[in-house]
Amino acid sequence: MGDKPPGFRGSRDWIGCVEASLCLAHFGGPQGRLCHVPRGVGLHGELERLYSHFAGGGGPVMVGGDADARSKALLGVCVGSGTEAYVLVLDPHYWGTPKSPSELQAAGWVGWQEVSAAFDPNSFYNLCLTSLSSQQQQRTLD
Amino acid sequence: MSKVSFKITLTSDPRLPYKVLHLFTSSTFLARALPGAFPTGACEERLSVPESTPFTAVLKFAAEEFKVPAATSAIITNDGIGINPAQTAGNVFLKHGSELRIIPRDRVGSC
Repeated sequence: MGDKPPGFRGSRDWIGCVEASLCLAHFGGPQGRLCHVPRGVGLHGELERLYSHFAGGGGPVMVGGDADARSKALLGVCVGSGTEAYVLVLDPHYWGTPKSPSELQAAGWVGWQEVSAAFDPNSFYNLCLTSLSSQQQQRTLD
Repeated sequence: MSKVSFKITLTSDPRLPYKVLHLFTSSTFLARALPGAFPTGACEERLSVPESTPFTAVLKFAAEEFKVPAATSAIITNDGIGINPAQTAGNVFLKHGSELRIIPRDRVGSC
């Protein structure tokens, strides 16, 4: 693709949401739109956008940061009446076939987390919001 | 000689509303009407480059001007489309227009 130097393949260098969105575009996958959340700002400012994304049928949101480089994906958002807000967080490190959804929840692989707890104020974040193009949506219906 | 420009905004510093970098690309092929005068920002710089300039050079210049590392920066459109820097500045302008943002690249992986 040309985004990385020749020695990148086979290395242990980092990738993140930027590289993921470029791969999605390059290999014809779902669209991945990037949203940057500056350090210290937190995710509360993006909750409305996340809510609209999921309410509109958007797919998982990949999350990457710097100080917080723990892999996570967002599958949903719940906004309370006051300042309460929760995100449904998936840990993508799971592998194998789970016996049941409750097994995944009990083991902590997926679950609701309060936004302030799930995100480190000392880290910036990039979000990659995935969604099917109208052409891709039509193909899944055919 | 017709000129077009990239307006690249630094969005990673919440202390500043924005910093704007204007890069002019010289090419009659790329000429487009640009509405109005450019708004003034906290910081503006101008550079003329041929349309065939690798966009990596544009990224490098923008990163240097904003004093951020080029190797860990990326340029995206205002609506979040990532721009692969392995193409010419002319291609980027034709596909994505002139309003761009520079963001830091994130890392994903530790558990």
